[in-house]
Amino acid sequence: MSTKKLFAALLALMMVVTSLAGCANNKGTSSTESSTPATSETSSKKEVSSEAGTDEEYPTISTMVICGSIPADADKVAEELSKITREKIGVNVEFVMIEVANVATQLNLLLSGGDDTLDVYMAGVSVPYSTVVNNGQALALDDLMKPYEADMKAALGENVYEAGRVDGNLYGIGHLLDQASTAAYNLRADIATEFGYKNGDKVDLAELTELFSKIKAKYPDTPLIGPMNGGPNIGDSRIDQLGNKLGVLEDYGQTTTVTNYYESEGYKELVGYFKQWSEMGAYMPDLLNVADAPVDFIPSGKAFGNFAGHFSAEMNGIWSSQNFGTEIASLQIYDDAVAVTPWGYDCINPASKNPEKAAAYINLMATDSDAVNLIINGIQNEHYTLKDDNTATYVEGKNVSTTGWAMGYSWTALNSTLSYPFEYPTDYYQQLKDANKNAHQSKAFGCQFDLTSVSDAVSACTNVVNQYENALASGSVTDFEGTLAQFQQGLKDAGIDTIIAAKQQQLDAFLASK
Amino acid sequence: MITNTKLSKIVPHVCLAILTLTCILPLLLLALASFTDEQTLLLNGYSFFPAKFSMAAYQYIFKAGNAILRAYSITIFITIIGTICNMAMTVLLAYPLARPGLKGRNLIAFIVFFTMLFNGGLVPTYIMYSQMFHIRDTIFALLIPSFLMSPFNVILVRNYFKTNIPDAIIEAAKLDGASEINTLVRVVLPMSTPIIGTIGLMSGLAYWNDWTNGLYYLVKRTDLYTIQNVLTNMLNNAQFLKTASQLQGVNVEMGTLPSVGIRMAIAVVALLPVVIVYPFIQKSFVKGIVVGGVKG
Repeated sequence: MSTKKLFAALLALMMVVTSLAGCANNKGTSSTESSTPATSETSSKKEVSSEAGTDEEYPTISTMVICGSIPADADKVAEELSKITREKIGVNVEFVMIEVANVATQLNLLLSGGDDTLDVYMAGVSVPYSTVVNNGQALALDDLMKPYEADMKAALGENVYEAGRVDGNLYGIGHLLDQASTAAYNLRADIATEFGYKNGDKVDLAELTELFSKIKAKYPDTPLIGPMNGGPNIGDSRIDQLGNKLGVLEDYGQTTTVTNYYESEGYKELVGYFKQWSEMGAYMPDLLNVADAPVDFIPSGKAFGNFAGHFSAEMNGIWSSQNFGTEIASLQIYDDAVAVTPWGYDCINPASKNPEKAAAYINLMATDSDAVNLIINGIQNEHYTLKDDNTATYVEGKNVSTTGWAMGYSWTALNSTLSYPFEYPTDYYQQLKDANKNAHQSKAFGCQFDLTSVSDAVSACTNVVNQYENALASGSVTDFEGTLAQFQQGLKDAGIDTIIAAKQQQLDAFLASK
Repeated sequence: MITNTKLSKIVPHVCLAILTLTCILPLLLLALASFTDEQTLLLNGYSFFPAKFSMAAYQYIFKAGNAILRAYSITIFITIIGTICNMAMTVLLAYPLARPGLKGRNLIAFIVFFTMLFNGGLVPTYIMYSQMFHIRDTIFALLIPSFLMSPFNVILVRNYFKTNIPDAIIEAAKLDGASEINTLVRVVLPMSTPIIGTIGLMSGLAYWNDWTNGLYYLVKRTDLYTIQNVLTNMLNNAQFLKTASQLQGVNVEMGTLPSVGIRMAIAVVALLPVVIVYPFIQKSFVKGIVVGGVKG
C-alpha cells in the first residue's frame, strides 16, 4: 500500500464529506450547524450570549425531558416555556432531552461528582427512585416545598404527594399517572363486531377464552395473540406488584401480607388459561422471537390482537386505533384494579445552584396548566391545534414522525392531567383520575421499598422470572404444570423468600409509621 | 494419487467457501432488506428474494436536512480529523521512543503503556473531561476521549521503527545534514507505510464505529450525534420499550421510531464506507501488524 493510495482514499472520503455537507447546507437551518461541526460550539456560545442580553437577570433551570427520540423543536418549546416561567417564577428553562434508552447511563453520569447540568430530573425510568435517594442524589425537599405544599397536594392528591417520603423525608414529588392499570385484550374492531363485542366491553378470562374459541372456529389460520413490547404482555390487576412482582400484595392490595405471586391461586388459574389458549392455537407461533409490533402484525393480518395494559380499556382502544393503523376494540379483562405507588418522581439535583427556583419550577409543573400543556403538547398551532371540545390534535399535514414536538400522553410530565388531551376524548384525564380514585388503594401505597440488602436474590429471581414467565404466558412450553413447578422451585432456590421477608419488614415499618 | 490431492484441495476450499458465505450472507440479507418494500417486509419477513423492491428507505435517509444525513457527515468529519490527529501523535511519540538517544525513554514508555492496562473508570473519566476540560457538548467530545491516542498503536509503531529502520540509514541521513524532523518525514516515514496504513485503519475504524463518546458526552448537543449514535439509540430505544412493559403507562409513541426498512438502510449506510475502504488498506494492515509485532 503506497502512501499515495492511502491519501487517495482519504481524499475520496473528504470529497464525500464536502459533497454531503453541501447538500445539508442548502436546506434547513438546523443542518447548517452540522456541516461545520468544528464551529458549532462557538456559534452556540454566541447564541447564549446574545440571549443573555435580555434575560441576564434570570437564572436558568435545566430539566430533564425523557423522549422516544429527540424532537426537532425542543429549543423552541423551551424558549416558549421560559416566557411563562420568567413571568411567574423568574427563571429561564432549558431542556436536557434524553432518549429513553440512554437514561440509565446519562442520568448516572450527570448526577456524578457535583455536576450541576441538571437542576430537576425524573427518577423512575431505568434509575429507580430508591436508588437516587440512597445515593444522596436527590435533595430533601420538605423545606423547599413548604410554600407550595398545599397547592401541590390539591393538584396531585395528598397520597401521591406523600408517596415520595423515605424515612420521613420527602426526596421527590410523585408523578400523577395512571396508578391503577388493568389488563386489556386488543382485538381488530371488525372481528370484535362480528362476534358481538365493542371497544371498552368487559370480559373475564373464561369469557375471553370462549371468544377465542369462537373466532378460532371461524378463522382457524390466524393467531389471536401477538406480542406487544416484545412479549405476551399479559398483566394481572388483582395484585400490587410492589415494584418488581417478586413478593406482592394479593387481593387488590387489601392485605398486609407479602406473598409469592407465582405460587398464588390467581397465577395458577392464569397459567391454566395460557394452556387452553396454547392448545387452541391462539398464540402467534414463536411469539417471543417475533420482532414485530402490533402496528406491524395487526393491520397486515398476521394476527388479530394482543394484550395491553391501561387504566381504561376504552381509552386503550382509542390509543391503539391511532397507533396500530387499524380500528381496535379493546376488551377489559378484570373489573377492578389496584392503585399502586407512583413509579416516577421529580427530584432536585443536590448540586443545583438554585434549589429554591427548582422547587418553584416543580410546583409550576404540578399546578400551571399553560406550562404543563406546553411541555406535553408543544406550541399551539405549531405542534397542535385545539379542537372545539378542548382536545388537541396534530396541525394540518403533520403526523407523529413529522411534528416538531410530540410527547403524546406523557408520563414524563409531573401532572399531565392539566393539559389538553391529545387525540383523546375530552374527559380523558377526568377518567384517569376517576380510575385512580375508584381503584382499590393498595395498603402499600407510598411505601418505598429498598431492596439493596437483597439485591443478589433480586437479580437471581429476575433471571428465573425471565426464563419462565414469558415462556408460560406466550404458550411456548408443552408441559404447563411441570414448567410451573420448575418455575416455583427455581424462585425458591434463587431466594425469593428473603425478598419477601425484606419487603414484609419494610412494609410493617411503613404501616407502623403511618 | 490424483484424487487425494484433489480432495485436499477441495475440502479446504469448500470449508472456506462456507465460512465466506456465513460472513457475506447476513450482510447481503441486510442490504436486501433495506431495499425491500416496507409492507412486504412486514408480511413476509426478511428474504433473499423479496417480492417487491423499494427505494423508500434511502429516499428518507438522503432527504436534505435530515438528522441521519447530518449524523453521517459528522461521522465522516470526526473519522478523518481524528485519524489524522491520531496518526500524527502516534508517530511523533513512537519515533523518539524508538531512538536510542532519548534519555528516560523507558519511563515514558512505561507511562504510555500503563494506561493500556489501568484507567480511572467511566465516572472519574467523565468528571475529568466534563468538569476540568469542559469538552462535553462540543465536537471535541467525539474526538478526544478514548481514541485520540492508543498506546497499542504506539507500541506497534515503535517496534516497527526499531526493527525495520536500520540505524545506519538514520545515521546516513544525519551525515547528509538532515535535521531530526527531516529524518523522520523524509527518511523514516516513507519506509513505514505498512505500519502507518495499519494504525490509520485501526484508528479510523475505531472512530467510525464509536458511539460511546456521543452517549457519554453529548447531552445537550444531540445534533452532534454520529451515525452510530443514531443507530444504537434507535435499537436501544426499541429494546427498552420491549423490556419496559412492567412500567405502567409506558405507551411511548412507537411511531417515532423509524420503520424496519429504514433501520436496515441506516445500517447499510453506516457499513458501506468501511466495506469500500477496507480492501484497499487490508494488505498493509496484515503486513504492518506482523512486522510491528515481532520482537519486544
